[in-house]
Amino acid sequence: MTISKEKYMIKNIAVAAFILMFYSGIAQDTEETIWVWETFKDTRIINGHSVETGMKGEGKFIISHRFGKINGGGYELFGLDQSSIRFGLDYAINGKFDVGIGRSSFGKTYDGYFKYRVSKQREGAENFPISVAYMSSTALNTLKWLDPDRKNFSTSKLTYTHQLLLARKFSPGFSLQIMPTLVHRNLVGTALERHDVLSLGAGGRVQLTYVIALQFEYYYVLPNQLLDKYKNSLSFGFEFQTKAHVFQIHFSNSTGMIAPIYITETVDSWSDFSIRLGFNLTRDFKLGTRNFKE
Amino acid sequence: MKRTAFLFLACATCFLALAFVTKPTFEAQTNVVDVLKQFGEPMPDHYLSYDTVLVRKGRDLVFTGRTTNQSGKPSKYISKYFVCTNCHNTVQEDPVIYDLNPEKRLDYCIEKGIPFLQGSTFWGIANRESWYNDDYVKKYGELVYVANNSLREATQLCAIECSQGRPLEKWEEDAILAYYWSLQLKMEDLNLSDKDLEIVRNGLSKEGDEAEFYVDLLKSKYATRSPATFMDPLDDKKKGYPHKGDPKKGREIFEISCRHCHQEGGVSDFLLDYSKYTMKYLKKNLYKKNRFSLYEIIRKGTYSMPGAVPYMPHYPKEKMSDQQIEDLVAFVLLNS
Repeated sequence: MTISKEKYMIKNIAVAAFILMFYSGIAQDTEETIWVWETFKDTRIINGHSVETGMKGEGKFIISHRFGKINGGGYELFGLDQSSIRFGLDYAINGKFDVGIGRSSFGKTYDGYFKYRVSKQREGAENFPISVAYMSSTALNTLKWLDPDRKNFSTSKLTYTHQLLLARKFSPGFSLQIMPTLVHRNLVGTALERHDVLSLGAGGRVQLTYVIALQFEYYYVLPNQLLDKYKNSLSFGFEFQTKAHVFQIHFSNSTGMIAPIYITETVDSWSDFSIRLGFNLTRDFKLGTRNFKE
Repeated sequence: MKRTAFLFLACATCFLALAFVTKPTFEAQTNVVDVLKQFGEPMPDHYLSYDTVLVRKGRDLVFTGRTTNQSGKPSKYISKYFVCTNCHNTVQEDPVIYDLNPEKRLDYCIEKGIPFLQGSTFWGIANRESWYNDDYVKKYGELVYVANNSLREATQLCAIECSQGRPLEKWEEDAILAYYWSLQLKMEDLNLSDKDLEIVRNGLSKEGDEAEFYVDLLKSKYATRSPATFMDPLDDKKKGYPHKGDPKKGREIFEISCRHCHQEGGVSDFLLDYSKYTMKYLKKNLYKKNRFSLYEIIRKGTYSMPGAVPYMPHYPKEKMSDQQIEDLVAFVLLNS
């Protein structure tokens, strides 16, 4: 097995960024602990989760679209004639623990997740250089069986994702997140594919103005786990914040909006502009009451 | 012998009677309402007898929006969005309590490290005689008619409209009133001069019309109402108010007023921090006619709408002066 030079470089950059995140967290002791807020503005970066969890009692309705490939030309209105959609509903139980469900048109997939924020970046009297969260999800593809005559198991359509989210807000203008991810698929297409797919994601946010930010997200799938036709997911986009809304518009080579799809089923590539315009529209609303503390 | 014994008993009885019938007086810790009562003032309608348990429950409701109910279980939150202390202090906030001046209040709040807010402090609110005064009728219409003369109704209005919550149950209303009464004014809070103290002490036996002078004297030493004058935002925002802004004061206002709600993890999702992004954003909108302009939002606030229930109450003139708005603007301009 040989790792391409490009992949080797990406791997090194990821490791260097991770070390930098810890190294730059060394701060001088002060009396007060300063908690770092809004590493990301939303609970999603583009396709994947950010380290953020909602405020207690906060509900979040997310409508996400990924259109067709922009290289389809004017006839396809640059991909706008097709779209893949996911509706999602999230709920923040206590400010650290989020749960959510969703349904994607891609693979007619239902998914559910929970995310727990283990620790939060802080400086001063208590010093911890990064925010840490763990996300776990299950997805069920409900497409009809390709071959209904063979013996099929409903569990074959299940996939599981475990993700560690490690993020640091370096400044009010820049945040970086690294996400080691494991996707387990109960059934794979060929014997050449792994059931367990390991990947390392990196995402970031560059604040441009108070309401606009540039965001990016990349998932590097470690070699020899998927067929060669599958590509790493790479996305760039802008995020706009308005009252109780977050609107994200972006370009991505992935169609899926949940980890098992964008990590293991991305077949398009940026190199030939097989990319898609997409957006996430997030609407926050209060279902429960937040924690009011003295 | 019998005569001597009778005289002795009569003298002893007189002595005891004199010993028990003492001259009315008060101490520094005496409640102002109790002294007023000695002058024949009736106890306010919102007066109630209370104990420490009821006060504790009222305090819980004021600070966290819920407490334990009669069954010992957590009560329902009054509001999903706000608690009382988002807009009200619970300690003295004016250095001179009969002179409700925003400039002096700001200095006092800075000195004491307390927030500088739109609402009046609950400290001494039980001693007030009217609430939602003056221009609040413009905001709440006929709802103010009942709230204006009743602290119970004013508290209900606050729960339902101001905090966008639910009506208070009777026991919750009582608990909050009990908490208010635990923050009532004591004689020492009035800062009476020695001369005034002597006048009041000497007048304690007075009744009827004669007592009126003393009642007026005492009530002149604290605010019995908090005036509220609503101001329109400036038309010519570039020209600003005719005051020179002090950015140092502006920074204090930004911290203890704006960021009371707009801090990290605060009651508002609209974060206002000290980053250049925030300052530039505030500057960019400063002269516009929208709710993101400081000139507009301070004087008009925002309104609760379906789908966007949380809102920002505005600052009447008595809660933030034109000078203080200019101070805040100067701070933003300096840092943007």
